[in-house]
Amino acid sequence: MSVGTARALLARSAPLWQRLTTHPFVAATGDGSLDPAAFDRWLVEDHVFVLGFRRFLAGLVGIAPDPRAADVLAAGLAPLQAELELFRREAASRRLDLGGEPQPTTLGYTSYLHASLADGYQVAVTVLYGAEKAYYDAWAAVRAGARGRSPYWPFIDNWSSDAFAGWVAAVARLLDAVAPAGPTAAMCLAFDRVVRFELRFWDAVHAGETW
Amino acid sequence: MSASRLLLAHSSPLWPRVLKHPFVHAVADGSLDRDAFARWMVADYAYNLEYRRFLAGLITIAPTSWDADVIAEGLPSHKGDIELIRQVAVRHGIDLDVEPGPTVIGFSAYLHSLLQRGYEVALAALFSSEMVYYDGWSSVRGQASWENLYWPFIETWSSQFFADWIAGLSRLIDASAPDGPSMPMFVAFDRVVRFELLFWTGIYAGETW
Amino acid sequence: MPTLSRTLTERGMPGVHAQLVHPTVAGIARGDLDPEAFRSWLEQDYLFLLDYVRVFSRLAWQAPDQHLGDLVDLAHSTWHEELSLHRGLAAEFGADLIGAVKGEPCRAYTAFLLDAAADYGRGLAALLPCMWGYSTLGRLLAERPPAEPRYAKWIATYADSGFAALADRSARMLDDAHAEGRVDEPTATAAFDEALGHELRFWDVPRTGS
Repeated sequence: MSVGTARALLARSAPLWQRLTTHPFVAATGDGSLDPAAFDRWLVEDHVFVLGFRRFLAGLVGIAPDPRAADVLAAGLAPLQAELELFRREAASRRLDLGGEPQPTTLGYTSYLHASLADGYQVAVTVLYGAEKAYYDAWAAVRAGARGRSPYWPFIDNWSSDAFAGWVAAVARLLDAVAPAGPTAAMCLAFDRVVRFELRFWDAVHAGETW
Repeated sequence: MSASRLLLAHSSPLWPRVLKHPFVHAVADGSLDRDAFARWMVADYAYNLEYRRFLAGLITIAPTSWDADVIAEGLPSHKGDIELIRQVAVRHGIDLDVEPGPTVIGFSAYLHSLLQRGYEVALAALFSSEMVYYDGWSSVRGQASWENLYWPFIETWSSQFFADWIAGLSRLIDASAPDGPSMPMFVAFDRVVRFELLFWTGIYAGETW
Repeated sequence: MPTLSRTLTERGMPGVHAQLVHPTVAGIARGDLDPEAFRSWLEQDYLFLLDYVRVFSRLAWQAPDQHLGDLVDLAHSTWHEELSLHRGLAAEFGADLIGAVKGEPCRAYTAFLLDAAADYGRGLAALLPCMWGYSTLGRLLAERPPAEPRYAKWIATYADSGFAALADRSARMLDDAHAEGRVDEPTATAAFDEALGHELRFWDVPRTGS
């Protein structure tokens, strides 16, 4: 299996990618040293993100070029329900209000996902891959050291499990199918923007962000 | 109170920041430094290109031809803004083909995403962004010199013509929400004001990824 | 969708801004324009307006019934109000309107307008920079009028809402002509652009001399 297009995108964004997978926020969840206030922030912001992401993914199913691609994408919707339940349970136990106003980066990033649908399937599926692969690689980096020790294990497991890895790989194959000769300039730009938004998202939940 | 007035009233705590933004005042008194000037041209150019798509999308989902006509009246001005930025950039050697900052990308994407939330919500966002611009630039219209390099921008964004168009938009808002704005309209209006303030701050202070 | 006149006037705003910072206009705005320069402008503009009235007449010949009244009103207003302002100011500035001779910018502009008026739609487009342009310029200048009363009065004439209404009617006639296929956008735009250029150069009149 090729996934040459996905690999090409990752290679182009390698320096930024390195910062993603070693982000202090994620590392601190692994060794349990994360400031609880930062985790609370992340919980609230990522809940908003997942709601926006679900709309984006649903839209992507709607513009999929063929039934096989739609099958793959639609399969990504159901697991989001379990994710949202996880967020809601954890938020309830921490007495967090999930209905508050999101931070600017959260709102900007989730909007970017959704707006990418207007740029066409090629760009939008690239954006999907970037967001999912970023989360997989970041959480997988702390998985080995975190098991059994981290209070945040359910979250780490959610985005570094075999099931999630399989989903990310399936999306990578969609990229190959839509751009077999390699990524277009528009795909490269969109992927790079997603990586930058991911980094800003981590920074914003770690340090806090105001309007 | 009409829906348009209610939207403004709800976001009034933010308005002092709209009327006193350091970026706007630096443009008006000519103290804007070269780097900020270049950032401004790049940001407003990228933003306006996306904004035009937003306007076009809004025209597409407008429920009546009256709505579409009023919104479309704003298209020549936005084309004019884009042209003016291009001319100014060429004259001052500013490269517009530069990746814009995260607030430009996020803000313009936010507007676009509202097209899916219903016409009146997207319209509230349009009204908000134009009101912020009109009030912000009107706050300095009287003191900016006509010889000021940025005068054409200040004049356009605080002109009677612009005010008339915005009055037209407010009538559309009032007609689309005769019982008052919905919660999503209030939220969209307020978020756009906050995004506009971040946009100006990003240009003035410098904002990087 | 936006009308042709709306599209053109939006396009023309940079031209108005350029006029706003022209030394002659800036001098009027401050109220300190050399009286000699203003005298020269008055003479040239007087000669210009005489032919401007002829332009309306040439257009009236080709006009549909519903525009005839507007064109007659425009010619009447130019003759009785604008020219009367000039005669009044001429007395105050010691200008010699009867003995004046057209300078090159005035000659070129009037020749262009009279020629453009041979075609109804093209002529209406060519008129727009003058009508709309002076109205817009006047209203901008009126936001900060000078203390000097003669220049303030000049500004007030062009800032007047009655003058703006005439400019609007002029624009609407162009839009009607466009809607009826009597002029296409490229022709109108070219005529508009050319007239706008003449408008800017006309302010040079006091500098190059008659």
